[in-house]
Order: sequence, then C-alpha cells, then structure tokens
Amino acid sequence: MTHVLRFLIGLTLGLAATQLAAARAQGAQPAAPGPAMVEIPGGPVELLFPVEGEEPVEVAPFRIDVLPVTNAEFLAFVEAHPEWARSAVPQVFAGPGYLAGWAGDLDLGALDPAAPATQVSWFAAAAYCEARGARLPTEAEWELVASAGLEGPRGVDEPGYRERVLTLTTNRAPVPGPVGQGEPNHYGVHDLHGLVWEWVFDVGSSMATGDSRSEGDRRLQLVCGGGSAGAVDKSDYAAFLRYAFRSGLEGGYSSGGLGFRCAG
Amino acid sequence: MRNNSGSIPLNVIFIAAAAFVALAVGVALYGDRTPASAGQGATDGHVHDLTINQPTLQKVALNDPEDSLPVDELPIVKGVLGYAPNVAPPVNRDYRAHVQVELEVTELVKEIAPGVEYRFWTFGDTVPGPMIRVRHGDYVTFTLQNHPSSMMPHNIDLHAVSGQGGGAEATLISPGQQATFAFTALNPGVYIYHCATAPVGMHIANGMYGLIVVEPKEGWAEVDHEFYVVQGDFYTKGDFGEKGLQEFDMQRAIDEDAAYVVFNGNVESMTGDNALFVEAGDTVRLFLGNGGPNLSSSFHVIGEIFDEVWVEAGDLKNYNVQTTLIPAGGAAVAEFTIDVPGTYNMVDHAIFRAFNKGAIGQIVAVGDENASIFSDRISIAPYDPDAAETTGR
Repeated sequence: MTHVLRFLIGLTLGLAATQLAAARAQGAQPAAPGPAMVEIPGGPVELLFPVEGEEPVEVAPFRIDVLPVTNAEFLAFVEAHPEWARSAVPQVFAGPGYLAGWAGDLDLGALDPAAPATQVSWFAAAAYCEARGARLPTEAEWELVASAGLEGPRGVDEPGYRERVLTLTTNRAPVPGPVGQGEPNHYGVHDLHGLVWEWVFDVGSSMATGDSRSEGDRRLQLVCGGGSAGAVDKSDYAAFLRYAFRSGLEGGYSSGGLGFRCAG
Repeated sequence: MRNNSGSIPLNVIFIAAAAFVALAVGVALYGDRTPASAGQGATDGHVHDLTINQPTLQKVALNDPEDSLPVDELPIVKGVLGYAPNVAPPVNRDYRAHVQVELEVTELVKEIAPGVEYRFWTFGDTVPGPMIRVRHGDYVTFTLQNHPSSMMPHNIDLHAVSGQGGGAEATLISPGQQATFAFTALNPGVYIYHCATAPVGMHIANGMYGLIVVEPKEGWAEVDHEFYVVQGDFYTKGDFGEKGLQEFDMQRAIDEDAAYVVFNGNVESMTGDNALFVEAGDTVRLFLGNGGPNLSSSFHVIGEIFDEVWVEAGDLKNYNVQTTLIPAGGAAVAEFTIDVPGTYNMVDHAIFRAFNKGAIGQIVAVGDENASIFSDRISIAPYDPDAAETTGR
C-alpha cells in the first residue's frame, strides 16, 4: 500500500502548504466572501462501508456551499494566490491535468465561467477553501447532505429517489454546464449528483480507514468481485459509483469531471 | 479471499501439504500420459479417452526450462488485439515472450439495436472488448488506460491471471490515468476479462467484458476460420426495440429481467451484411464468451453440430454437441466443419432470447450443394388424412 503512504505524506505536505497559503492570503487581502452556505443539522451518517464494530459516524452541525465552486471563483482565487497558477504550482500538489483546460495561467479560455471549477487537485481545492476561511467537507458530511431527497432529509423515503440519483450520476454532460440549474435538495443544496464528482476532505478514507486491515478490506470491496458483500445498502448503485470513484483518488489528481465545494 | 494479517492458519498448511503429496503421487503414476497423446487419439478417430481425473498437469509453466528465463531477457512482443467478430491473430511462436498489452477504457453512446442507443462502458470502444491472445507461460505486462473523458473509475479482472482480483486492485484508475501490472499466464485456455469496479454488476451490464486467449505451447490445429463471439444481457428502461437513448435500469438488472440479450453488443452485429461468411467445407473455430452479467447461454448453431467443444474452454473435450452451455463469466470453444451451404443461425437456445431479445447471429456458407449430406426439399404434396382414409376404402 505504498500509494497510501505516498498520499498521506502528500497530505501532510499539502496541509502545510495550505497553512502557508492562508497565512500569505491574510497578509494580502481579506478572504473573499464566497457563495451562500446553508446550515446542515448534524446527525448519524451510515457510510456505505461501515467499519465493523463502530457506530455510525456522528456528524456535528456544519455549513456547506449551496453551489459547487465555479470557474470564475477559482480564477479569482488564482489571481489572488499566484502560487496556485498552472505554471507555478509544484507537481506534488497538482499533477499534469491541473487546470489543463485553461488557455493560460489566468485565462479560462473556452470554459464557462459559471460552470463548476474542475481539473483542480485536492491540494488546490483545500487551499481555495482555506483562503475563504472554510474547508472541504468530510466524506460523512458530504454524504449526509447528498442523502437528502427533494422533500426531506432521507431521500430513500421518497419514491424513485435511487433511480433519480443514479440517472443524474450516470447521465452527466461530458463538459459540465453552469451550476445551480438543477432542483435543490431538501437543504437547498444544488448539483450534488448531476454535474461533477466532488472532492471531500478525507478523500482517502474510501480506502484508508486508519486500520490497515479494514483499509484493505474496504478497497477490495470496491474493486473486486466480492463487491457489495460488506455494503449497508446493496441497491444504492450511485453510492457505489461515488465511493469507488473516491477510492481511486490521490491528492494531486484532477480531471474534467471532478469539482468541489467548501464547508465550514 | 486471503486475510490480510499475514499469518497462514495451520490447517491451511496441512491441506496444502496433503494436496502436494497427492499431486506428486499422481505425477509418479500418470505423469507419462501426456494430454497431447490423449487428445491425438480422440481427434483422429473419435476414440474418446474417458479416463476421469486424468492428471493433465497443464499448469506446468515454470517446469519448462524456457519458463525460468529472466523476464528482462525475454523478447518483447506487442500484443495484437482482435475486434469481434475477428480474433486476435494466433501467437505463432515456439518461445516464451514478454507480451505488452495496452487496453483503453471509454464510455460512449452507440446503437444496441436499430434506432436504440445505449451508453456503453467499453474496453477498446467495442462490446465485447478486444480479444487478447498470448502463449502459455508468457510474461504479460498489462496497461489499462482510462480515457480522460470517462466519468467513472474502471479496472480489469482477467480470469487468466493467478493473483489478487485478477489484476482488479492493481488496475483501478480514475479518468485520465493509466496503470500497469504484470502476470505470467500460468494456465492455457480461454478466459473472460471484465471490469470489477463497484458496482461490478453495472460495469459488466454496460458492456465491460471480453476474452483473453492463452494458447497452449504447442498451439492449436489450423482451421479455415476463427471467430470471436461474446454474449451479453442488457437492462434498459425501455423494452426491446423502444427507440432513442435508453438508460440502464437498475431494478431490471437486479430482477435479471433483460431487455436485450445480444451477441457482440448489438442485435445486428452478425446478421445480414454483418454475417460471418465462409465456404461450404470450411472448418470453423468459435471462441465463445459470455459476459453476462446474469444469464447463462445455451449456445446453439441451427443446422450444425459442433464436432468438438472445449467444455468451459478448459482441457475437457466433448464431441458431437448440439448446444453448449457458456456460463456468465465463462467461455467455451466450438469447432465444426460446415458441410453444406446455407445460412446458419447462432442462437441462445433459451429461444425467446433469440427471437425477442436479439440473441441471434448468422454464419453464411456459400458453395456447392451436396445432396448426399443434405437434400433440399424433394417434394411437396397435399396431405389430408381423412381423404386418404376414404380413398383407401
């Protein structure tokens, strides 16, 4: 599991870098106000692959962005923090795909400013949120928000919820359109399923649970024929897709289908 | 699945030791009865060796001096892929090689039937994925590439691989990544490969499967035609034939209620102009796979008898077979001579799948009739039992 080690080392470095960036930012200018956030009451979250013997994760109340971070917002961030420009960022914090669709360091090119910011590494996303005085949501927080339906906090209680989420997840446009077009969920949060995947703070937890045995087990459950044996809800296909996607990620990775939003 | 703690329970060691002793005794008693000689007798005169539990010991790889050559001394060979219904070319080598295979994963919308589109997840843009062909004992470096335009992470589990997940864990990659792992092809045969990323059923249901062929060291007898045919079942929101872009239907997949059962990813993949054309008298070898995800195939060619079937694509040969079973996630090889001209329909003989869900393909044989084997209709006349009775009196 050397990649896990590599990721953890990268994570540590990245945290240091974001602290640095935040410190610099504070000297330069006040944090940007950022888009609207909503309050999410906390509660227990049952993850798709709970660790045996552990209680459901208890999430404390938190706030989360109503919309994913957009290209325009990320451009403003890079303008204020040139160390995150494509040509300046160290490779360890952002791989070759970082902002690859931009026409230049401070030029979105053909990208829609209102579309979600993608091709952003975990480190860059974390730095962005940090600069706003926020952070990336944890996996449990993200899943808690995403499990809400249109009417209430438990989507599974609403007829057709699973099918709707799966359809949204698998029928995304290859190039994401503007944020905020879809129907908001019960909490008033948009675009959780139909636009892009999203970074979470503890992205590695889809494979690294802190316990080397369950770590391996969980990753194996996601990639091997054993498949759903350990999963709580075997018919939640969209959740399998999300967890599998996260399990393959490393902090420097970026792609055109992966964006983020901040929490606090 | 092995536990990760690293220690091997004592009883496992005992069982392993016992199995080893039994194997050694088996080799001592029967080791000289090579599979080659057994097979020879059978194919020549159809004198079938019915010995049960004959130790074939095909999994020798590593006993053969050539198999101990260091990998970096092996000649490097680029793996050539075969796109169905065409096969990958025979390896045509009498030495071990380091075969390098690259396979790209894509997600794309294509027709599954006329006017019906589906969002396939593919190996190599096709369903089934391209055929990979290596030689028993080859060292294979396998690179899987996930196209940057993909939405999903993907990986590959090759049933020809002995090792964790058949390569599934080693090859799990996000869009825009590639991963490489290596294996030695320890067992000859024909094997399914498929994507094994959660939810596995959905990745397979979207078309992510194909065949990897591991030829025995001595190769196989030449035939006039080799074809590559893989069955798969598909689960769409709309029923069979409903036009437009059809979405995957999760509940239908769980209920195993297929809307489509097709060969090579399309109801018309091998019909009409796409039929497999041969000449009467030709020998044909079909590499048959079944990706599933759910349904086993009762594979039959209407108007033909398989002279020889490699049961489940293993060493066991069966002869004079009408319908052979191809399990989901399995394979078979069927060989036959097409004696007379005609259109031979390949079907899943669970027959509603053929005529109502698309599991049909055609082999068209042209050439001279041979009335001693098959006469077309000799006569036709009215038949009325009552009338016959009356005139009889």
